[in-house]
Amino acid sequence: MDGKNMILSEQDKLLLIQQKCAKKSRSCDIVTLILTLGLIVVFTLLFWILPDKNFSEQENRVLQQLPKIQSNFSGSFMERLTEGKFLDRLVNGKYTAEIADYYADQFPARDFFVGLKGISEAAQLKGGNNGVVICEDGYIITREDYPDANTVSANLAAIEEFSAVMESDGVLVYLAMAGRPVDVLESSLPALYPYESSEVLWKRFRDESNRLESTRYIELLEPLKAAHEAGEQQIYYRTDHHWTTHGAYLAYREIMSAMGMEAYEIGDFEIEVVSDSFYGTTWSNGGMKWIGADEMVYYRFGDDMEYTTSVADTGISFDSFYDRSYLEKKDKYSSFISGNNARVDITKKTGEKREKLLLIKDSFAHSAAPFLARHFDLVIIDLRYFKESCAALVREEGIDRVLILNYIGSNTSSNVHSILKFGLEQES
Amino acid sequence: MVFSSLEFLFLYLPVTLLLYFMVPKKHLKWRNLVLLVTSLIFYGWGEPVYVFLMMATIAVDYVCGYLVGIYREDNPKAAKQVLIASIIINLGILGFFKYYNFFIDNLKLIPGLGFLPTLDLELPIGISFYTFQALSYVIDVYRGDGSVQKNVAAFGAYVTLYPQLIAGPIVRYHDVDEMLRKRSETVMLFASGMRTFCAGLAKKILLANVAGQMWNGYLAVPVDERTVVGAWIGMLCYTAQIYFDFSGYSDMAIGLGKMLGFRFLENFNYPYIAKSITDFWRRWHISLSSWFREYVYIPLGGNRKGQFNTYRNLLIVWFLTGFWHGASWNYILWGLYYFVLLVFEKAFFGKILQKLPAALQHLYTMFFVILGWLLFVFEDLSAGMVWLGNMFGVGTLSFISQSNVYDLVHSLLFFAILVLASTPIAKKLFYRYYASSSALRWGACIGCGLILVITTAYLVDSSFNPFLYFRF
Repeated sequence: MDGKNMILSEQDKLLLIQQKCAKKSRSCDIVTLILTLGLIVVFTLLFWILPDKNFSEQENRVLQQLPKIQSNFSGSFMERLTEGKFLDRLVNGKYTAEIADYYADQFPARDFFVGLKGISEAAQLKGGNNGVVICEDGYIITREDYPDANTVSANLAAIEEFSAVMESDGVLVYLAMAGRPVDVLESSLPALYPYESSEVLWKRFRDESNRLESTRYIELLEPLKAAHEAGEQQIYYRTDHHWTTHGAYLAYREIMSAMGMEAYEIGDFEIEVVSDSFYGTTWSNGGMKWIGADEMVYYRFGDDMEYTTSVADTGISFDSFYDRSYLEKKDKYSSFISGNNARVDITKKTGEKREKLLLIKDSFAHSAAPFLARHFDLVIIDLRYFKESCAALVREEGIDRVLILNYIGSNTSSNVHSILKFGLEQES
Repeated sequence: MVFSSLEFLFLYLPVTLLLYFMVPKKHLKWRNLVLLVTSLIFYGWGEPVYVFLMMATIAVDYVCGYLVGIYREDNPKAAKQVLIASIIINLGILGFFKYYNFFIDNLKLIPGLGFLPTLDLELPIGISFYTFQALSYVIDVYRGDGSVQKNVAAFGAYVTLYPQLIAGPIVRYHDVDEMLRKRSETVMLFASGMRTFCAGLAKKILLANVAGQMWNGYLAVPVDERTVVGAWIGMLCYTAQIYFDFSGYSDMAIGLGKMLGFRFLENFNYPYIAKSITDFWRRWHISLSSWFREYVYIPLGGNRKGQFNTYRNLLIVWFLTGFWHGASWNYILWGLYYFVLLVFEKAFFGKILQKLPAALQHLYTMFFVILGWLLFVFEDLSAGMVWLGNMFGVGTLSFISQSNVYDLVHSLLFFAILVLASTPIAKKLFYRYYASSSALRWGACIGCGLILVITTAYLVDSSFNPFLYFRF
């Protein structure tokens, strides 16, 4: 070797060692090749042989299909290549990006691999995976360190503006917000978990809410947290960010008491277990497949079949409050009033006219709606999808009271309530 | 395309290996052609347009090399002219695609030049690497360090060789000249390459990507909630990310090269165990430093023409090294930062340093390397200065937060793995016992299989995006 090639030494040292024992290690070398190339070839073949899936229930989304070279297969090959969109897509990199997505979405044994990553991360004692934290008592939660309290304030300002106009029309507006699992489950959090940001967020939110003049604030965090600490009932799902039906019931009690009305006692309901295999979104994110499923229950009562739930978005209506078709799917929480829709109405079949409540909400209110329906005719809107004037709706529908019930996590990430201001000027 | 992707591992790699080894061994020319075509596909996969730019580079340097070879003996003047033309064309292409907007943006600051147009140019991936490789060919032929490659396929394969196309190591022509004409792919070399490849894959996916995620998490901490400890954890994570990312990619390249019968230079030699900045640069991105040393520093006279010229040459090399990393002032500053440190060590501090305890030498080196990464990672200098302040308690909310404590406790094992993997302990054990211990050899075999499966799990998981129906 001359001086120049000496730089190769690190690689050469290794190769010299390997050459020295080449005979001894030959069988091992061959097995290494069979094992590694075998794995690569087997998964490559499986990928192309196994049928593609359209939808992932775990992720609640449509999966990428094999990107077509061109949909219209007439004409010669050259014509197809030159005139079709294929060339455009190839040139701007879309086609190869779609292939990458296709590989990722249709990879064989996807769930197995997702679970394997969860195990690998947990084995490194990271206490979680993909931002999901393993807590005590079988709970898993999403870690949220830096909630944006300023966005909460902006939401509160919009709500108050709306409430002031409503109040002058004699309609009272109540505000209740559900805590995030991390807020409520403090007593089950792992050691050293940074809970302080939760305290800061809630202190600020509570202080500001209590200062609002026209909006009536209903505290939900403290009573639910106390109930979780008491430990008699499960208040939040272990695998999802939503509260359980019992958690929703406790929230309903607080709301009724704030409205000066009497809530039904727990004994007035009959508990029906509708599923013992509910795996929530936290579970899907975390990839910790060893965490067991949640149980889901409905709180039924004598004449609950005498109610009709009508979904304006789809035109579908059904008896009672539950769309049980969702119980067959992964997304079982959507069985409560048929999941996310812009507008849903719940009334009594008898046509009996009762006090009318406008429920402005996100998914947390879905499991609370059946309780409220026992007292009010409900107009339920979701501001993520309902993009009309709420003030006009109140007038048209002859609403008596308004309840805003949603998740504080939604209020830290987006100014979802700004639409409440829409159409207020014409009102006043 | 990148190596750490599902479509590389489970489509491109098996197909191209199959094509390559389907060609009988004796037809090396045809194997080179397969390499050229598959490498162009590899490049065109991510850069469908710029693949033509690369072909132009190949054509220009093929012709230039050929002409230099003809004129070299009889007409040195003409040979030199061709060489200069080649250098101008190559650097012109690099300068235009990589630096045009940088120059225009800066010229625009001069009153009266505001009319200059910036162009909507995307940087062709790997252009900095393959341009240097192509340049080294013509220069080596001119100097007589390499012989003219008359076979277009072999020359094209040299420039485009997919293992090191995108992120190096930068191969110099005289290192592979022989291998383009004669190389032997053996089971032993292939297995050795597979082990190197798997080690690189693990570094990239299990260490670099995960550390990178942590760094991004810290970067996302609102400015008014930062802590001293948080700023340090963040920078340490980035320090780990950039090393394992880059060296992992180099390992994968070297491994793939071995599978195809090539032997490339080592690109990293455990830089984070360096005892001085001078030592660090002997261990970090070795192929780039050697390129600059061989094709810039030494031709400028190196250290043989007096102290002034030596420092001038160093200044030029380190300015270029910084600028090579990106068309932005922070990279230039990063290069000059190392110039200052290296001169400092060369002038007198190196001698003092040697007398200090080893622990202090390491501490000194890593401290300045980490500060260097701060310059490197923040293209926005003012954001970088804010972070630097945070590291020393300026503008922070507190020294440490509960969140930092939680992270530290839950990352202890991961950090320990990062530290261990930054040292040559594993390599030394492997070298020492490989020949004698069959348990080690079989362990390495099983390790390769496990790494493939686990890294696939991480790749699949990173595409696993539950649609969060509660988020807006």
